[in-house]
Amino acid sequence: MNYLTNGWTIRSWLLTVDHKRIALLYIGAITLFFFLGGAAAALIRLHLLTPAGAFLSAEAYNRMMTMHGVIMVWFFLVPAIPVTMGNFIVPLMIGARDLAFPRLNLISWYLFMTGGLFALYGMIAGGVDTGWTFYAPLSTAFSHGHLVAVALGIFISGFSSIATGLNFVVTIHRLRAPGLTWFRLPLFIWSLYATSLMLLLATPVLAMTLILLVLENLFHIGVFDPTIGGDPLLFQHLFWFYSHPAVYVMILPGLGVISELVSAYSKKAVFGYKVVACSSIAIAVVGFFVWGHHMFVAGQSLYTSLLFSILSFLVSVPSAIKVFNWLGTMHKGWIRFDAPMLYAFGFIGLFTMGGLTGLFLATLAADVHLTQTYFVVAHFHYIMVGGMVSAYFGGLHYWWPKITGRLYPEMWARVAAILIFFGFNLTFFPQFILGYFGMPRRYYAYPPEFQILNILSSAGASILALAYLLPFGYLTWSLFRGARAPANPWGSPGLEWTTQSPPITENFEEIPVVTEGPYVYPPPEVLSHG
Amino acid sequence: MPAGTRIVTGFPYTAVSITGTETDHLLWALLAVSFAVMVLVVGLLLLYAIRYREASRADRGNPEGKSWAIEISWTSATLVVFFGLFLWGADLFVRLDGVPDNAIPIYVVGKQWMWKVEHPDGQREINALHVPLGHPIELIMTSEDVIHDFAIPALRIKHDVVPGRYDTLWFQATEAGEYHLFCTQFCGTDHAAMGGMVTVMSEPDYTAWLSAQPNEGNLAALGRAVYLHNGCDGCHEGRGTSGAPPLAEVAGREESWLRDSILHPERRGAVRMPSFEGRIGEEDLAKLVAYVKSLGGGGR
Amino acid sequence: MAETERYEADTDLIGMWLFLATEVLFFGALFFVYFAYQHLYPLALAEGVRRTDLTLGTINTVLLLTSSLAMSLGIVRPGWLGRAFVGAGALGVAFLAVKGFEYAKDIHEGLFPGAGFAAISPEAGPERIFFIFYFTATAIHALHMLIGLGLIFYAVRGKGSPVVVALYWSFVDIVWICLYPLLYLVGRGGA
Repeated sequence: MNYLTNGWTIRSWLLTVDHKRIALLYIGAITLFFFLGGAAAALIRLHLLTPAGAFLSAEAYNRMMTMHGVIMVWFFLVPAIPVTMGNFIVPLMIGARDLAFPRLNLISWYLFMTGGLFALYGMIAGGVDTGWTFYAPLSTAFSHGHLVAVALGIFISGFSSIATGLNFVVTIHRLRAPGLTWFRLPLFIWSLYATSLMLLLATPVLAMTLILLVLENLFHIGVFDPTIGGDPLLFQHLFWFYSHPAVYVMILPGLGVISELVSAYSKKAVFGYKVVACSSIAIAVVGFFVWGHHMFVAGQSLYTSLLFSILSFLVSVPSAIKVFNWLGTMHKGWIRFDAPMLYAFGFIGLFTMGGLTGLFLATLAADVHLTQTYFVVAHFHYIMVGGMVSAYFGGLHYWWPKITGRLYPEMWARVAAILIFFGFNLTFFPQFILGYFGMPRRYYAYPPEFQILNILSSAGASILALAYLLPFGYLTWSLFRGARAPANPWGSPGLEWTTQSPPITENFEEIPVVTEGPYVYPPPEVLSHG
Repeated sequence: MPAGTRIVTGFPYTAVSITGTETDHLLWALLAVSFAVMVLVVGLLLLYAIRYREASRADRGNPEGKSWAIEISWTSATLVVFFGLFLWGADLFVRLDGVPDNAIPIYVVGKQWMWKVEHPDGQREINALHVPLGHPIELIMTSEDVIHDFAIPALRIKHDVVPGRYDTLWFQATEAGEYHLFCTQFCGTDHAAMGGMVTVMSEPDYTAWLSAQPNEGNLAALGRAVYLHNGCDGCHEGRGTSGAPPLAEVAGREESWLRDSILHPERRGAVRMPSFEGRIGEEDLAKLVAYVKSLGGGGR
Repeated sequence: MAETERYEADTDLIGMWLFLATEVLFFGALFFVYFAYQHLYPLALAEGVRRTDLTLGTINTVLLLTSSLAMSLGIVRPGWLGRAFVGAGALGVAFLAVKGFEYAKDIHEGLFPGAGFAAISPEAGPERIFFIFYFTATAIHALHMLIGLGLIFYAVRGKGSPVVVALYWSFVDIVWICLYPLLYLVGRGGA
């Protein structure tokens, strides 16, 4: 008997308050949005094979790139790890029976789906053509599309984010098992805690910004309207005040997953555990003070730009610390190359590249040349796709046995991980070069001399698309034909591995009592002799 | 793109201004730092993957104990490098912000989906910009509708162009040629088509080009006409008690300050000056601003 | 389910505090917009303040402060809880009624910041921006009061925690305390 077999009706799924079932509901939703956003990306890369644009009209291309951004940002990247692995694993990892507010958890899923439906309606009815950043006055006074539906969808899904963040914060504060002190918590929990703080504090600003946007777009009563003395830069400040922390919301859970994976597959405690834990909090705090680096050429004052530049350099230090500490973890470890670890390796390389190129953009005079070009596009895709999506897949594979009670086929998983790595690099590395040469982003057509790099990028995208389909295939297969998983297939420490796979609905027969830190492995003598 | 235009391509793709070249040096430095870090990280990853793979017999004794010395050293090293890069980038950025006194002021108006350019003596261009070599040029830019961005990659510069205000950009080109001009802030349907070429010519060629263009006359002189037409002289040259300053006093101010004063006098605390928001178009505004600036003693 | 309810009873209060933190950021964004324009157009905004109805605004402030007081008394003296909450709710309804009347009056005077806005200050645009802020802020505040009334309704019927409801209601009151000076007082006395 486990949480999957505890009730077979649709009602028992759609009205569940079991965090594990809700996590599965979310996995379904997230997967759907990932493929929708990915389909938009595929069309974009196909279209950009030729300089004049292959088959989309200008308007269609603009709507496609907007939808790609909107779906990927709000309906995939922001929620992905917290609502899937977060929901499933957090109570297990801290020795609790569920989250603090199980009914709120279910409501958050419905909010997410409702928001998603509004956004999808907006898309199907013709889409929005403003870019996911909705700058005023373009989006308020000059856009023809279904802005209100999409904005409403994002607004509603924001409540889902806030609900999730609230749930995690209270859960981590109040529901830890006896003996589980703060500095005995796994780093995945620390990263989700930091993420949740950001979700709580940043999302409301987006909510207000969207309200003001819709008021101006729909009723022409607008505070950003330059013809009545309004300031378009005010929109940008409000928008980026949310959207910059949002990108840390996207990556922090991934950073937490990688800490777990690197430790598990090196059979070693994370080097500098306390420093890594605090680095997540540091990212969350400093991350609120760097938004102006999106506006270096927007017309803000020189002093503002100077301040945001130095702060943007500072915010990258905690991330760098994590990378060094992961390497320190691997040093003198017992490294295995299961698929999750391959994803972790890929993450470390690609995230580091993405982070280093962020330095280019934090550097003022360099940013003047590189901003608004494909260099930026490459930078954030290295972090989000090379980083975040790799972490998502790594974590999904790592916890797959716990979640489903099945083992995934290791060979296929490794093939997919390697294919993803190569496809990804071929897709996005040429874009750094394109950006340096000056190719602007959001262009449906481009000068002919940029074609060869675009073709390389599109070729990579076709490999990447295929590679992403593989897990969809073999993970689904494993649900029916995969070998049954034991409680702890990886030999990892951690409370989630002390229960059966899949867990019973109540998670634990008895709430465990914790007496030691999070990453305790057998001593070297035992590990060296197998 | 118009057929037959010469385009800058090939690698390395040199910058054609002094600040552009300095930007390239900065970019190379960033690349070097990034490369070094990648070599370190990837190198260690590969090293550990091989040496410490599960089956290997490498020595795992004496695992590191207290890690503070290591943590502090790599954090400090990182901070030092970062601060250096910040200072370099900031210094160049400040110099990009400070327009030289002898720059030629050229007005640019962006609108969906074209660029309108006007030279000081009234020569106009669409989606093109002709400038002389070796002379600082100041672009005074605004938008008639949404936010655009005027970008010249070969010069390594760009700046957003925002409705309701002036934004400025300056450069000094060092090599004659034709270089891409792009709009780089998404502005709607034909954002990708809103571009053209910047042509840098020797000074004699530029002078010849200027005289060959049809022009509507010196902007400052035209601005005087707009000034009179709108009755500005009533307060600014009148003997009355309006409190309006003689305009020569504000001629040294930046174009965006002057523009703001005309459209939103409240921002200056000028309670008795009416706002001309909605009553003067961009073209006339540019002429007015040019006129006021001309009242200052010589040059800028 | 029983265990679920036990968890929630333990943690409702922390949950409400965290939710109120999000509300601070939510209203904070709107206040930020106000302060940006206060900096740019102090005179036009003052003109707008002179055109709001000080009497009605002050009446509403008194109503809401009394309502909060009533609710706090209900918490401090549990015997009075039922009547205190009903009283607080009634005062809240009165607030909304006055607000509705005030809106009608404002619109009749041409203060709705749509195309037909009747400006009187030299900077018509910024004055209109003031009224965009006025209507947006008071409408969102009123929406929060409606939700609060719903919570009071449930609390009176014995569902949910009264302390949590009182905390929410106090927050809505604090938002009004911040709004009232900005909408009715600041700059009113100027020339």
